[in-house]
Amino acid sequence: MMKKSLSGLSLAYLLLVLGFIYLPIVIMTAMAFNESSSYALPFRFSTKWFEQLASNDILLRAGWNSVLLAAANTVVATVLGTMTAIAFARYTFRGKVLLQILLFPPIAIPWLILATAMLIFFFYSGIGRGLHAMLLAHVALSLPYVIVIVGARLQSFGTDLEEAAATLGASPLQTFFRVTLPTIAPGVMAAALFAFGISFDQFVTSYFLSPPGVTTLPVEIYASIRKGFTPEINAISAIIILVSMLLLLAVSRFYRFAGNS
Amino acid sequence: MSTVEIRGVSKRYGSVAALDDVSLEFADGEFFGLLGPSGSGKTTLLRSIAGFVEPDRGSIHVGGEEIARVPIYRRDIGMVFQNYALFPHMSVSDNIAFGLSVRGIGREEIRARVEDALKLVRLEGYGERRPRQLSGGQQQRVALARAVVSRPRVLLLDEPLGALDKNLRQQMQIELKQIQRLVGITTVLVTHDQEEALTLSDRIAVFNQGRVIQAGTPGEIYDSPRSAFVADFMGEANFFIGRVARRQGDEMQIVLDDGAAVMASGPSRLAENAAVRLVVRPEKMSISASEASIPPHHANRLAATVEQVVFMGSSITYRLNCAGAEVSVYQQNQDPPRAAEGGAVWISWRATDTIPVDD
Repeated sequence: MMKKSLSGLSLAYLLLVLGFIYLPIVIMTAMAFNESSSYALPFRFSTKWFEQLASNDILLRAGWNSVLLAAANTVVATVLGTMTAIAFARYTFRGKVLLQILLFPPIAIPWLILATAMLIFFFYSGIGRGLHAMLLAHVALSLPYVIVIVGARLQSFGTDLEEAAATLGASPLQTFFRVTLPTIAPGVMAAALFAFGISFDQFVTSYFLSPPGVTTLPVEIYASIRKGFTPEINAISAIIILVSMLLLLAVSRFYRFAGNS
Repeated sequence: MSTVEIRGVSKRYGSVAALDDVSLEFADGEFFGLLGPSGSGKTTLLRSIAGFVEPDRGSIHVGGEEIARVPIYRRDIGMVFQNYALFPHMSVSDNIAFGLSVRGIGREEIRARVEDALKLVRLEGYGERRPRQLSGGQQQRVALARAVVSRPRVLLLDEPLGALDKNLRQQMQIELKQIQRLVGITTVLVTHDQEEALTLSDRIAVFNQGRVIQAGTPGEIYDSPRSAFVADFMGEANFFIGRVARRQGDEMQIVLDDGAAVMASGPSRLAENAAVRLVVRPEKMSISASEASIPPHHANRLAATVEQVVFMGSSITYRLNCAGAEVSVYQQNQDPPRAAEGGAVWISWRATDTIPVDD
């Protein structure tokens, strides 16, 4: 397709959309560096909210919990989901279609409903509440996304590469690690990022499943806002934004490296 | 010794017999072509040898060893896929080295053998490129180098030239044949292109509906087709239908449906009065303007009308009407034109070029 330059009107529209997305984030990040606790102007640069954050044990512990939980969820959901996607794409077995259909309702059902169901089930089954229960819930929520994303990548490659590897003498394990995994790596990375995001951002299930004293960052931010807002929240949000941007950048670089080859 | 023996192999998919009691033998170092229309079973047989398809019945032996229970990756085969199936995340060298590296061969030996393989397919200096940076013909050569570098017992080619344009395909056919001679690996080629099968193969098996209809050298298959299907599939064929009127040793006189008599010469199982279908190849026939100018050794002569003259460059194709039947005749371009459209002519051929076939 021929590349045309944008007209003035389209450019203005594009800026409007970008502003709609990024303006609140920019203002929040700026306010994390403003000395006033009540968003008062003029802007006076200060890092005092970051210093206060560094001594806010509750918020830091919640943040640490969130990172741990999201990391564990990423590993578990990505490994399980990739294995499932491969089973769906490369094998035939009884009940496969039923299982594939059952994948989609969890994506469509509101998280609030799923979280309620999990709370009740975990209560009766003796799993209870806590980080282990949250991990179970987060894995259950992110699995369908991982399977769909990795599955799409698997579909776009036929079985030819794997068959070629087998004829060349590669065992199934060698074929997986040297051919299948490298070719689907961009899909797996994207899925892992998704899984991390779903867990790190998860409020509803974590809120329901957190016992007193054990919270995650979204739950704690919610609690602090209810107690009375402080720009410490801006500070931690700014950190999170920075980290997620860097993460995305890293992944997109990886995508360019492995995806187009 | 890397002979391949296929013994009574059958494979059904639902109610369709993909392979129906197929038995074949490929000699050591032989280039064997499996030819047939799509869905005729040739690819199923190739994939059975590779191990992707498990036959329902029968057995496959490579070098005397039954391979049914040998997993694909221990069968010691090389395969070139229709779309080449090069690993996109590896360089050309790493693609070729893959089979050696998974077998745990040392770094130095791998490098030397990859160099040799690149030289074999005339791609020296391309080792560091990625497959997507190569043309279709070059990718095809990489796929071939990758398949032969570990010196497999059997080389399987699945429509290897199907994705190339015509000129490149002809050039690659010659190269493929040279390389196969050089490495001497028993090779099985699957193709639906009869010209490709004729050019490349030492022997050919023609498939239809899961069965081997006829197997033999390209010359045997083309010059002595046993059935109308083979005659029609291998090049163009003119058909005549008649009845055996007289038989004396190898000489037969056949009376066609319109009353004309045709001579056939050659061994045959047909008895007198049996219904018979005859095949005559278009290039074996001559066109003469008058009955007097028919070549004297041509025992068969029929009157015909020219319907169409098609100039093909190196040859000219005449479409004629011969007593209601359509007949094609090829004439070399070096001969002077013998007929114009609408003209009345004689077509003639030798008795030995009349081939009786089964229906």
